[in-house]
Amino acid sequence: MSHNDRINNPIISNLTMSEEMKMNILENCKKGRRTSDNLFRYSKVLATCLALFCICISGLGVRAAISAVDERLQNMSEEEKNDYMEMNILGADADIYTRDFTESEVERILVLQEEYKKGRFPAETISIVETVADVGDDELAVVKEDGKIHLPQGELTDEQLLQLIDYDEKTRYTMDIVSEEYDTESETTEADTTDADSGETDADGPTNGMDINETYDFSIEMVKKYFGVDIDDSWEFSAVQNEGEVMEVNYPEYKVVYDVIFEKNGPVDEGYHLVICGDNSQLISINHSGYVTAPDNTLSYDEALARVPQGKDTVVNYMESKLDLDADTVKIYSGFNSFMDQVQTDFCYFMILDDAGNGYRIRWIVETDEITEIKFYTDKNEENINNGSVNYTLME
Amino acid sequence: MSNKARNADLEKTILEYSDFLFRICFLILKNEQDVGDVIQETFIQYMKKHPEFNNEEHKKAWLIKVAQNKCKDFLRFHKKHSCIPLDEVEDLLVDLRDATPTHKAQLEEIWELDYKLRSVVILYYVEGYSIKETANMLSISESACKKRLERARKKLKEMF
Repeated sequence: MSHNDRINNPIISNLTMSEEMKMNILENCKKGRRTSDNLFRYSKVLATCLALFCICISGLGVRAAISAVDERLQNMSEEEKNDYMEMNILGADADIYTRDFTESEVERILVLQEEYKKGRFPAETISIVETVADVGDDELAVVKEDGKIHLPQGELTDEQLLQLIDYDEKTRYTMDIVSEEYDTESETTEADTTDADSGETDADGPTNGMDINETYDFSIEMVKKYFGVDIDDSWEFSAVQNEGEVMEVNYPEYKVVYDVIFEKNGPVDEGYHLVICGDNSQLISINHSGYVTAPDNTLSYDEALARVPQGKDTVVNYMESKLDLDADTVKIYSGFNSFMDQVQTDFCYFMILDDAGNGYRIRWIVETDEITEIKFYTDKNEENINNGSVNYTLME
Repeated sequence: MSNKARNADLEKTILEYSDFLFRICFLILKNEQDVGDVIQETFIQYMKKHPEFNNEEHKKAWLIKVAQNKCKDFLRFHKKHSCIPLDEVEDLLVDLRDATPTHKAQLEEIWELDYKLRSVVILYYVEGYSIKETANMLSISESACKKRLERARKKLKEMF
């Protein structure tokens, strides 16, 4: 299947939005009216809270609290898990809540989510009842009959909000178990993913160079070295050996190149992506991807440019500690990537050239002052660094 | 820009791009109402930020990028997102004369892919963007994009 094999499916190409929906959206936008889906509206704020939570994760106090949450989730009875599973399926075809959250409820959810992670749990779990008739006006309950979470008409109390957070965590945990079981089954039948613990390699895998276990160990070492993160069993691992067109176009000089991915908490959360040359155990690139590292283009070019000196400081510190380079012996260039003739201001590239002819491209996120990618080159010099979509300038 | 001009621009943009965004977001979220929410949030961001574009292609790419991010936000906080049965999708369609059971199976296969693979397949194979453009819109590296395409191809190859 090449790029020329475009998917030409009339079901897809005929998908259109109804005129009524278009008009509703237009009217709502003109009035500045947001969607009634509170979790979605506040998702950026929630994401920030989650990101901060992830950053704080190294604190011992939080570690203990996570254990408390884990323990709570792991101690669910089979009956409880079945209830959550059933509700997840029943709720699949319905709007999940019977009313919108109020602004103050959303604000309190944000606070209580943090407290939940620190070990503040509801006194009781949410009621799961069979029929709508079983729910009173001021009660919070999950109803199997309609697959909805019935919210009381009045403001939700902290206890009720904690019950909702608890319900959400437990449902997610239950579904994660199912997904993991599903993934495990899938992986055993997929040629592209190899279980690192099994010691098995792809049927078409390399007969020399690194094997999959060495690649796994090497990758863990690299994530630790360049991002200071310990990869443990909670990370999902996958490794793919590049082949065909991808090899011909990108790595013509190598025989074996692996793409290695460590992912945590599902497909849209955080991960590390490494490209490793299996011929000589060389790291080609390492990238910290995931939701928190992909901000929108919110800064103007001038604003982003003004922050580049700060980025240089961060990059110099990083290269001295992680790349063993001395700022006095290298040349540092910086540049923004252009996409369809528009400068992208959410990140800036720093290209470092040393005397030995090595190049290191570092991707720096402007808003968060984070380094998210290092790419290693052996063929970069002052003449050819501006061949791509980045226009580099030598920094003083 | 005056309010009147802004509203006119918004109306033009919605009429011009909502079907296109609907298609992409629907393939990701699989639910008409959720897609409506995502697209509304996308256009609200468009209206608020009022970005300047070099050309229509650039504007289109910006809208896709924002809509994709909104879909990602949505999925992140709605793990239990709903999915309507494929048969009901037909109600959304104007013309199904050329559709075959194979086409239905193809759509179901795409829906079976996880979010990461589905999003690259939609942009690369359905919308025809290059690897570089797809990677940029999804804020991932080109090599990650290629890798995801390769994984998706392996999963989808039986249907082609």
